[in-house]
Amino acid sequence: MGSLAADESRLQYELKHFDESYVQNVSVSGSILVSFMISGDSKTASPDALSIFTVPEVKSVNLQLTSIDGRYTAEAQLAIEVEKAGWVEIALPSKYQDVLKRYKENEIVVFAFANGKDKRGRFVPIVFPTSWGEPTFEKQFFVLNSNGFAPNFIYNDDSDETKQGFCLKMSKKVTRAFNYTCDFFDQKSSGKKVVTFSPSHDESGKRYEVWFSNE
Amino acid sequence: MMNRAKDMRSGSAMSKDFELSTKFVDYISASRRTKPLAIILGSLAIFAMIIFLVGLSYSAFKKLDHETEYSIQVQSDIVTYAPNSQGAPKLLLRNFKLITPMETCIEDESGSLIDEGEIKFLPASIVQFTIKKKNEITIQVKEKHSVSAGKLADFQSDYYQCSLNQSFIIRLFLTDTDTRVLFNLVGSISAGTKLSYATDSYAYLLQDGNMQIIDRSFWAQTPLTFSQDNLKKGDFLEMPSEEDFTTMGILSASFNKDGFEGIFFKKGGVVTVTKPFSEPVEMNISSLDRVLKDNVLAFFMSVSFLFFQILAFLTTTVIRIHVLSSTSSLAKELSRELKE
Repeated sequence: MGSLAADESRLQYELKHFDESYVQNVSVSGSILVSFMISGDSKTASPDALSIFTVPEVKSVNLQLTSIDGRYTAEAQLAIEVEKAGWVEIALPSKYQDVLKRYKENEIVVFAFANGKDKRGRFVPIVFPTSWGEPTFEKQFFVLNSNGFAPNFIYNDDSDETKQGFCLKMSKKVTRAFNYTCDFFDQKSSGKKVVTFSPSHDESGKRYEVWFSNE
Repeated sequence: MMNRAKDMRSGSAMSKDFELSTKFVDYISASRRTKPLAIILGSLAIFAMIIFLVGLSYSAFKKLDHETEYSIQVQSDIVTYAPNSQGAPKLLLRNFKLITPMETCIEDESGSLIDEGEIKFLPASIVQFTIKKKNEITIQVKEKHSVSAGKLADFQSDYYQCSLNQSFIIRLFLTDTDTRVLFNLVGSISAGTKLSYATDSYAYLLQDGNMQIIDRSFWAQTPLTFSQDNLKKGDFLEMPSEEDFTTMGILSASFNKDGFEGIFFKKGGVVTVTKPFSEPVEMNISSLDRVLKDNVLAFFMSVSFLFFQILAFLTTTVIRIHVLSSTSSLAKELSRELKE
């Protein structure tokens, strides 16, 4: 259905907490687990126009923003209320708008998540896709930080077949905060799926519940 | 009386010297000789200065090039290798088994270890060697690019012969009877890990190492060794393979010893070291290092500077004589006029 109108989205979220830091000379990194990004109409990071996909059953979403060089980190907590699953555009009151606009869209990533629990009671992060500007759905990709040799992810697609995707090392000089991107090609997927990310073929991975949106 | 004789004798000797020197001065002070002499000496001085400056700029601007040789020895828990051609050497494997995937020809039906086999890694593959557990070498192989570009490896043993087209992992065991492994590697090689803040698994580290850069001296092209003990724990060493330059070496591990030992050699191209949480730095030699080590260069520079000083001195002397002679000829004219 596309993103909701600006005045509607203002009613639907409240920024409970926003904390950011930009340090020119020292790279202190934030920590993302797995970011799920969708290409947006903004080619650079745009904190004043960040779109997040969310669902009615989730009332609170946490955001962690990190730049690839570790200079910029931010944390936010949103109270969100939507009637049906869809995209909400939010504006973060960042003091560093000009600085952030110098980063390309995949050089600052957003880890949008809620805390969930699996059937055994273990913590499982629920990951929401985000995009800079309105999502265009040209590309969908995960971004993560890995020490593994062959980071990969496994999930069951809409027809319940097990699929595996591989991650590619980001070829940028400074990659402390995140170093791999994993293209997600199943563009038509929707709904919540369990995705397991592993650092290599012979190591066990971590489970996430990821919301997919195709519109 | 003796004194006067002495005086007269020294006086005559002095007058002889004076005659000689005035004759010499008169000879060269003829203006048709001082000018060209000054020009010749001055040009030679400038030439000597040019040689000196050439030596100086050589030391300042000479970079490592296709003649530079890198000789590296490293202790590391992780080595990554990407063969650069179809002709990369085979590796001998002993006491090993395939961990994943399950269906290839590298499989002993009873599930026990395979005694011996040969594997050849192909340019579409990237290979990582790690020692996760003592005496267990893990060899992980994956595609270099996201799009499948063909076979990753060819394998041959007594009973099997096949190609492996997808990622696989082999585990090799060192025992008290099979105490060593030695792998020949030719291609892009790196040791250590580029450290990041990832928490999905522990990073393996380079432990120790040293690098010698062997370059060629100025003009004589004799070998010069710049020894640099500059690999420390946590460093990430990259020896890439470029079009005309490739890295070759051996990787070895021994029973009950920690980590791998790698001995690598590269002629030409670049070698990069990334210190923990820093930017990658290409290996380089400072111009001061070069002057201090390169005795031929230092010799040329000091000799040329010495020549420059001698010639400059001679030039100024000739100029002074010219000035003196022109003022003395002026004095002679004046005295003649006075007599008249």
